[in-house]
Order: sequence, then structure tokens, then C-alpha cells
Amino acid sequence: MSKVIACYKWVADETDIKVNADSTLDISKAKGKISDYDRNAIEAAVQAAGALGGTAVALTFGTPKAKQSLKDALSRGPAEACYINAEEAARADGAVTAKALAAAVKKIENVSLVVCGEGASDTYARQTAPRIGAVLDWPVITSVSSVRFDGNALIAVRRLEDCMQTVKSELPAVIAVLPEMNSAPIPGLKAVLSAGKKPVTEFKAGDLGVDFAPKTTVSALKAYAMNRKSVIFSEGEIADKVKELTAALRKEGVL
Amino acid sequence: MAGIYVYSDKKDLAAELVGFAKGCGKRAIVLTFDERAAKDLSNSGADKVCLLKGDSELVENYGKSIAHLLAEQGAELFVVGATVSGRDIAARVAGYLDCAMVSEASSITYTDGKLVTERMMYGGSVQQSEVLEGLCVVTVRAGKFEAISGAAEVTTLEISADTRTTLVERKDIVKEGADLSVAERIVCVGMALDKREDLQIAHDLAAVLGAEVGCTRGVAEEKHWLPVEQYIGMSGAVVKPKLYLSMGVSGQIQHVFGIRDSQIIVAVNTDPKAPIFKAADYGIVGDMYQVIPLLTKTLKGA
Amino acid sequence: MSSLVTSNTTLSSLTDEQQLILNNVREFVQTEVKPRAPQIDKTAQFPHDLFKRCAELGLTGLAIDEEYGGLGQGVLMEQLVMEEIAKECPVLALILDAHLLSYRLINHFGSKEQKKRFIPPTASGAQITAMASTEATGSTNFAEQQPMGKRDGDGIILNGTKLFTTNSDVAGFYIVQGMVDGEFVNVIVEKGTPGLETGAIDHKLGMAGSSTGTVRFKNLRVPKENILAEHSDVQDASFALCFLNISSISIGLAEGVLEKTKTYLLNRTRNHKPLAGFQVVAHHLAKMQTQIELAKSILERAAKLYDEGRPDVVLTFMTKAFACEMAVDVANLCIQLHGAAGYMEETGIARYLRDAKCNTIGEISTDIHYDYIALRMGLPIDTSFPLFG
Repeated sequence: MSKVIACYKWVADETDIKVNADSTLDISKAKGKISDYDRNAIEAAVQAAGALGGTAVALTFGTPKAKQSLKDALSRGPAEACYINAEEAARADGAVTAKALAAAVKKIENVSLVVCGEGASDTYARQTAPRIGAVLDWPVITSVSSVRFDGNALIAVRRLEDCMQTVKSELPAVIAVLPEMNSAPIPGLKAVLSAGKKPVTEFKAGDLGVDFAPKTTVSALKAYAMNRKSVIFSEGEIADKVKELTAALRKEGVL
Repeated sequence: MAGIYVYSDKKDLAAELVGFAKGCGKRAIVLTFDERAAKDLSNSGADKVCLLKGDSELVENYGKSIAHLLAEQGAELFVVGATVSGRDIAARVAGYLDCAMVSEASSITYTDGKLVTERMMYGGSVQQSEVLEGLCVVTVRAGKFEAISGAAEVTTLEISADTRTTLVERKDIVKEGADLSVAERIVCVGMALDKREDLQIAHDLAAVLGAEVGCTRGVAEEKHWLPVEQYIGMSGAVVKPKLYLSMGVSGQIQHVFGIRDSQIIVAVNTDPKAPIFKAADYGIVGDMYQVIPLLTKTLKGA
Repeated sequence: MSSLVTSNTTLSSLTDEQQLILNNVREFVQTEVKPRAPQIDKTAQFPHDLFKRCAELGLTGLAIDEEYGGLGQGVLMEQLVMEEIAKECPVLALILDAHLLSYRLINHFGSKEQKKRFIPPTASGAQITAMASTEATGSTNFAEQQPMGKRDGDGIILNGTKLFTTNSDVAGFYIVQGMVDGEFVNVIVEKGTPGLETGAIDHKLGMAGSSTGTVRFKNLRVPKENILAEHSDVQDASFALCFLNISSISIGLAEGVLEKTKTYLLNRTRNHKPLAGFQVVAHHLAKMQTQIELAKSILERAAKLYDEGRPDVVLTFMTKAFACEMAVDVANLCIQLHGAAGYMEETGIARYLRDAKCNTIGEISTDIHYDYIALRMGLPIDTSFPLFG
């Protein structure tokens, strides 16, 4: 039975990131979460596995902290999970991430499809799917809005800026799905309770034969300073607030 | 030929990227698959325009060949217009080259011979600076650089395609609303809207302002009350109007990413703690169902 | 969502799965329940859509045994879920509470066959259920109630009216309690049975949308299969569990309204200083936070005792009396701290007070709880207490 892999990233919840007085960031207290669009990728992989008569496998590359994501991912429908447990994930760039994931895909064997989310909540670099495709030298389809299968062929509809493009590819392939692909439902409680019983395979960094040295050097990371007037009319009657606003906009010359 | 290689499926964006390359004092070599674009870009100030020809109508299928071409030619940098297809090609090329890539750089400069980039993280709340060495790939959105002019030689190059993926069909998206990316004024509807019919109050205000109506991701993708093209944010439209006025938008950072280049941002929301107020120049704390109709009436009367 | 100062002592003892369940419930509440809550309050329409979602997520079977299609989660877990829902929509939690109460009665009084027949649709949420016991003459003292029916062969013929039944107009079946031929009985009345009439009250102070109203019987015949095993001793810890659920609803409600009030006072300024920074206001907020924490502590203790199989009914009563009165006080003070804005429904604070008041009366009033506690203290209080004798 072929496998459909859903790649997901365990990221810091951006709403928990604190900005220090000097604009540096404190991510230490941030809770983890499955990257928003990766939920759609997991759901898409589960549906694809159903259509192909295969098994959906959740795959993540992360630090030891990412272990806590496995039950969450499994509660969303995949039959099993694979976890590349590597401290190097903390410093990984697009190149390292794709090589690690691709190496795991090779280890898992008999993979017909790799599904990624269009971009991660933290970096939103949108490199992973095309890069995995390049490393494996498999066909890649990005910006996928819907997908169907015809034997060993995959027919995907892509959303571009000005058109919807239908393309056909052979399996195995890599796709990156848009959030519009499905609604990625909140998992039911039963699925949560049974998640822990599903098999998990763990790979260590050394198992994969991948060069974990990142290609980019991060030189600074700081909060983006929003520089707006923030004149907020919060007191008094609505009519007065509206009058004050229209006067201000007229003065700005934007009406 | 060494230098900065430029690609975009949007020829204006390609011309802007040539402007960047020449501004760095480097040679600029433009890659294009479109004969007309090649002709237009022959006046972009590039050193060379390379018209690529091959067996596939899908430009993404040339990623591997472009990677070979860049390596062979000793390219210093591959800078690509950040469109759907541009991002795809750029990341494939980076993958085949196993090289560094920075997606949607907000700033890109050469400092002491090294490439220094900035980009947004965490939906636009964090700025990351990176230093890159050797051949690398960077994507850039439209509007970051000025195009220049000057004659360039056009050469044609045969290039091989990966034909495992083929084009079946192409359907133009019939835009129901105007192109938000060029709109001068935008009224943006958020999830506080109770029901689809209530969009009318946004349309009424838009009519008075001469504005287009946009929305947040939820309104388009969860409620399906407006077409997907009309949603603003990191994964949707990125806008830069003179006036952006939101109603019932909470201001998630992913949305704010899409409005940050607006000249004036106005927010109406019942929750005084809504993050949109931090991103706004002017705001009214109040129920949009009361504020917006009154604002429409006030502007009409003026 | 900003976290409160403490409250993590309970959460740390949860399993990964339970923590995930709570995360998912929180997401459900924030994305699906919160936007609907003001509407439900305004229209007083039963939220069939949200009940269906609760069923899909498995919340209708949270504490029900796995053999009946439930999730077999403990009492503490149920409390945490109720609390989470009540932060944004107390009435939805109340509806679930009434639903689960019926399950508990069947589970306690029912035969194996009755459990097999009625519990699975309760767990899956295919049927909404309700419990009908209150009569015009009162609810706590069944001995004083009029007989609600009489034996007829191996069945029972019901005649009479039950009042203030939550889920009255939407239930698929009712657990009806009352006196028959001088005996206390529990029977199941299914929707569509000839002689059954139901109706919901449109206007009540709070908990709008709960479909609370009358259940009337006119010569309604209950067949033998629907009569639950007879128990003369009705003191039952599993029934008292509903008081914990109500307490959790009050606690969640208090947390919800306090959080909204804190936000308001942090943003509302006087002399360019947030109101929350004025000591008198800050102390009010701190005291309310403390009250909530106290209620959570006693609730957690009472719930754990249930999970350990040694329930303490007095402690359960104390929890309910304290938590439900506390929530009224908190909601009341929160409105006061909002000033005029708090009195306006559009601010979304007022409904918390209206909803909170329900819980000091519903499922037995605070006074009766104090009666019982006083009795257990050995005070010579003049009361007969057949329900919890």
C-alpha cells in the first residue's frame, strides 16, 4: 500500500511572542502549534490517501520539543507519524529542511505523494515543497486549490494571480496546498484519544545522512516596529466619533 | 556570463529587478520564456535578455535546467519576481543548486561584497536579516525597485524541460471585484459581519468613498461571502491604497501584513484591544453596524 | 487569549490527550461559539447548530462510558470542558449539562437493556435529552408533590405538568421524576408518545436559548421497558454531579466576564492612565480573580473525589453554593466597573449577570444547599429532606 506523506512544522504560536524593550524577541514562553496551513496539508494528505487507497503519514522535522506535536498531528487523521528529531532543526533553513524531509521520505519508502502546506506560520518562505521535489527530483505542483487522481496520474488545479491552471502529473509527486483546499476541521475528541495508539517512527539526525549546515546566516531578528498615528476615538457618542474621524481624514487628504 | 540573473513572469517586475541588479553595479541577465516580453525587456537596461525555448508550456518545468544554466554561467545571484510561479521556480532552482534562498525579501543590498537581506517572519511582526554568500536565490515582490532603460542584446537559448507535468487547462479568473493591489481606497470587511446581506453596508460606504471592497481571509475562505481574490493578507492580496478602512477586522498580523503599505489605515471595531488599532492611524471603538452607516451618511452629506 | 495568573496547577496533571482536548475545545469555543453567543442571547433560539458541533466533536459523550460510544473521560475533565464553553456561552454549557444529567440518571437507575437503548444516542448526540422533575408545588420535596400518575398493569399512566425543564422543546426523550402511588419513580418518556405536550418559555432573565419550559402529560402511558429500576432511596452522588457541572459553568462564566472586564479597564483611560491601574479598580479585579481561584480549587477537589470513586456530596453542595453565588457577584461587579457601557447589551457584559443568576436557582437553589450543609453540621434546622436525606 502506498504512502501519502503530510509534512508539517511545529512552530511557536506567534500570539505568545513577547517583544522586549530593545525590540529583540522572547520566544521562550511561546506555546507550540502545528503551523496553520499545515493543518490543511494534513487533511489533504488524509483525503488523498483515501482516494489512492493508501496510508497517510504525518512527517515533521523538529527539535526534541516537536515530539509533543505528534499526537496533535495524528488526531487529525494520519495512520502513523514520522519524526526527525534533531537539535539542528532550530537553525535549519529552507535547504536543510527540505533535505531532511526528503531523506525521511526516501527512508519511509513506497511514497506516492508528499503534501506540504503552502507556507509555514513562522517563516512563510514557501520553499519546502519545490525544494523537496528538487532533492528527490520528483514533479512538484504548488499553489494547489484542489486535486484528484486518475490511476497513477494526479490532476491538480493551481491558483495563480490571474488564472486557474489545471495540470496533470505522474506519481510520485510533491504538492503544496492552499488553505482553500479544505477546511481542516478541529479533530473530534475520539480521534484525540486514539492518536496515542498510532505508530510513530523516530529518525535521529545521524540516521539520514544529511548535511545540516544551513546555507544562510541569520544576522538579526527583531520586532517590526509599526509606525502609525494610532489616534483612537473611544469616548463619547458615536456621532461625535464619526465627525472627528471624517475631519481627520479630510485633513489627511485621503477622501 | 557572470552577473545577476533575473526572472519574472511579469515583465514590469523583471524590469524592476534589472534596475536593482544594475544599481548594484552588476551585470544583469534577464531570463524569459515570452517572446513579447523579451522584446520589451530589450530596453530594460539589462546586459542581455535570454529568450528561453523548450518543449513545455509550464515555466515551472524548467527549474532544473535553469539551475544548470546558472551554475554553468557562474551566476552570482538569481533574483526572481515573487509571483506564484516565480516563487515556485526560484525554490526549485535553489533546491537543485542546494543553495541559500531568501523568499520575498523586503530589502536586499550588497555590503562588503556579501548579500544582506531582510524579510518578514511570524506574519509580519518580526524582521529577520540574513547574510548570504555564493550563488543564491532571492524573490522580491513588485514595487521594491525602479526600472531603468537602455538597450540589451536578445539571444535565444534552447533549454530542456521536465515533461512529467503537463498543462491540461487554463481558465482566466473572472475578477468580480477590482484589482485590490492597485485600488486607491479600500473598505475591508472582517469576521464581525453577521451575515452576507450585511455586506451592503460596506458597499454603501465604498460607493461614497469611491473605494473597492476587500475582506479578511475568514470572510472569503470560511464564510465564502466574497471571492478569494478579494481577501487581503499574507496569503492573499497585498495592498497599498491611499485609504484603507476596516470594519469589524480584528487585525491578525497576517492580515496587517497585507495592508502595511497603505498611506492611511482606519479601523472600526468594538474591541478596544483589537490589534488592528495598533496598526491604524485612526480608529473608532464602536459597533460597525452603527458607525459605518453613520459614516456613509456623514460623507454623503458633506 | 491572555492567561490568568494561576490555574495551571490542575492543567499540569492532565495527560497530553486531555490537554489536546482542551486546546481543541478552546479553539471550537473561540472560533465557532464566541461569534454565536450574543445572537443566541438576543434571539433566544435553541442553538441546534452548536449542539450538533458538540456532538460531532464528541462533547455529548465526554464522560459516558466507552461501551456506550462515549469517551470515558473523568468528572474533572468534564468540568474543565464546561468551564471553557461557559467562558463565552454559558447557555451552551447549560444545555450540555442538562443533556448529561439525563445520561447519569439512566446510568444509575436503568437496567442493562435501558442503558443499551438510551445511552448510545445520548453519547452520540443523535438525541438531545432532558430531565423533568419540578412541579408547581416545588421540586426538592417530592413527598409533597401531587402524584404524577398511577400504575396501570405493568405500565404507568402519567397525568400532570413538569415545569422549568431545560431542553424541554427539543429533547428526543425525557427522564421524568415524580411520585406514583406513593413511590418515587424515574421513567423515560419518548418524543412522539401520545399524550405528550412540550413548550418553551420565551422570556426569562437569562440563559436565553436553553429551551426551558413545560412538559405536559395527558393520559400518557409509559410502557414497562421505560420505567427505570425503582429506588426508594434517591440520595445519589451521581445525581449530585450535576451540581459540579453547574459550578463549572459559573466558574467559566466568571472567568469570561472578568477577562473581558480586565481588557476593557486596561484600555479605558482617565488622565491618560488605564483605569485598571487605579488601585481601587485593581483590587476589585484581584479580589475577583481570587474568588474564582477559590471556586476552582474546591471544584477540583470535589471532582477528583468523584474520579477516585469516593464522592463527597456535602463538598459538592458547598462547591455549587459558593461558585454560583460567586459568579453572580463577579458579573455584577464587572458591570459596575464598566459603568454605563456595562448596562448596554451591545457591550456583551450584561448577559453574563443574567445568565449567572440562573445557577443560584437552577438544579436546586443555594438555600437548599445551605439547609443540607447545616443539617450535616448537626444544626437543629427544621427541614425534612427526602431528596438527600
